[in-house]
Amino acid sequence: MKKNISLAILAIVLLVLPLLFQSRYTQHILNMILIYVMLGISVNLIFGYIGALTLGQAAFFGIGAYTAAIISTKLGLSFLPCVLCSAVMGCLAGFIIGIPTLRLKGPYFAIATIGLNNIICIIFLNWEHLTGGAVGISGIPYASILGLQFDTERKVYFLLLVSVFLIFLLYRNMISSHYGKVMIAVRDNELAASAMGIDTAKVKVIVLAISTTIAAIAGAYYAHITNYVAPDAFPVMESITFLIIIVLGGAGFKYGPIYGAVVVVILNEYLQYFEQFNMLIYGVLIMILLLFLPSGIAGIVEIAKAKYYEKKKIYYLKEVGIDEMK
Amino acid sequence: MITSLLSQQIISGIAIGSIYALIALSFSLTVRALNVIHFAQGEFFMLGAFGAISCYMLLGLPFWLAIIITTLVVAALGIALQWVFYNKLWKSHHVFLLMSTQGTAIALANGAMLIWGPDAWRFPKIFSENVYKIGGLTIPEEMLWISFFAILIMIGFNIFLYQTKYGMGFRAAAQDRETAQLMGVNLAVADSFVFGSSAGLGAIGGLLIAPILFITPYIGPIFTIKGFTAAILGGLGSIQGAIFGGFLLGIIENIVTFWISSTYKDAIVFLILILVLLIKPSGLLQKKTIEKV
Repeated sequence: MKKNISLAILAIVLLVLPLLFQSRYTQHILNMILIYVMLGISVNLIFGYIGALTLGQAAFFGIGAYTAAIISTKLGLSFLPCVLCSAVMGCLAGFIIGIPTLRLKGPYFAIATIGLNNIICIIFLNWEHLTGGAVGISGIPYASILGLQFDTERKVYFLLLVSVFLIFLLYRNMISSHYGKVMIAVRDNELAASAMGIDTAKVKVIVLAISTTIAAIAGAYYAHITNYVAPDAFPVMESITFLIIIVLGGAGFKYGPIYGAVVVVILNEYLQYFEQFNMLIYGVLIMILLLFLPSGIAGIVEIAKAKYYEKKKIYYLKEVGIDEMK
Repeated sequence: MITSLLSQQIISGIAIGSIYALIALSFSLTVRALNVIHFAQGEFFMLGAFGAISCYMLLGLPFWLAIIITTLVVAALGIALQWVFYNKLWKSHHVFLLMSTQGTAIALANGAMLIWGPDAWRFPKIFSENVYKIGGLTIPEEMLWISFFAILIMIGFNIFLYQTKYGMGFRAAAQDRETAQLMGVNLAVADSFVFGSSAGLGAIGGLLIAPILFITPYIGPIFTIKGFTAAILGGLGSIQGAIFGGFLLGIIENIVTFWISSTYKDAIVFLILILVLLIKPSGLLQKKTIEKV
């Protein structure tokens, strides 16, 4: 009951939030947070739940964005088919890249993904008749579904909110299902998991493909929101930002991507005020966070929750006259 | 004709290869001794180049003094970073270590941007610009000097590691920390030596390449990944492998630029990195390693 009330409050807050802010800029930040939540979910699946450190997620984000951009400008398809094509491309890319590279262990997989991200960026930059080279592709139409145009930041917010909600639902169900337990088993001890009869290679590849699909969908939204894609939006640095979202929010925690995306996007915007100092501060902040907050915000929330319920339980036990629960 | 073109590419590849070898060597040092992949290696390289600019161009010191001062300062920076950050993250998951070195790289690149500005610097030619012609091959003299100094540094470093008492102690610490400690090796000094020399070697690479490259604060990452590719080619963690891999990568890169395409040069380097990781992760020089359960 109590849970339902808090969920209803959350829903109302999320729906009213864009109406509270009048400036386009603030609404744009809200939209970026939602896109980063999608990307955070995609990284959390592969890094938080499988334990494969990926530093190339921006490549899949870029593949999704470019697929949507090319299809909508060259073939003139509308928004939903574009998202579908991007998702298929992301999924295919995930399989093609995952099958060979996921055999690599630990940091080696991370390095292979860095190489991959660089290769994809070079292809975006140099395959000029398809990707437009360094200039990129402009004139991507606004998203529209059944004649409804999403041409203002506020309309886009509601579109994104619904999409993020659906993706989050799928993600939540996936990690709390039997398959989620399998993923955690593979992460915590691959050898033991394979001894239990789990095909660990298959699990890893499938989860990577799901995660790259989500990243590519986020890319398609990005292309339709900004109306413009260029190769400099998808460097390795962007992949690192996605990873920071997860490490900061809490890797392997359900709500990690949400906490992380909110904090990182707002932090990035505030750091703009420091002008040329912003990236320096960003780099130092990453290291300080890693030192003092290794389990992320979600970790702290979990600890606080556990303490809260512990206390309540003791109070309850005291009330009924049992005191030895200390 | 083809052989002479090929040997020309190989000779041009050796100079840049010797720089890759220095960076690969710095990667291999930290990996072998402490199992840390230090992703700010390219930034140390960039700081080396900027150190040369500051000392030689702005302060007017002689070049040999610039080399010594810059190397020592960057090595000290490497040690300071180790004490402030990595020592505390030692035991944690390798992801945190990797990310903290990435954080270092971001902070260093942007710190350098604040000091030296975002524009490209051109270092004056300090080596002679003579060009030797031997049997159809053209060899610029500065390339010879760069390779000569890089190889000299590497030989000196190898002699230190393999012929002196201290080098032996540090190698022992890399192999078995506890036993080495029992034998009287000071682990804190050994670790600092690893981080300091790894940063210093990167800086020397930057110092040597400064005269033939435009230097900006953002050249770090590309040299990080190329140095790392070189280290992987020869076998990550092996000193000889790093040197071999560096030269091999320099030569491959030149041949690819000349015979295939210069726009996709970097893409092919990354493809080689991924292929070597997949097919022979222990490197081209090393024997197969057996994974322990």
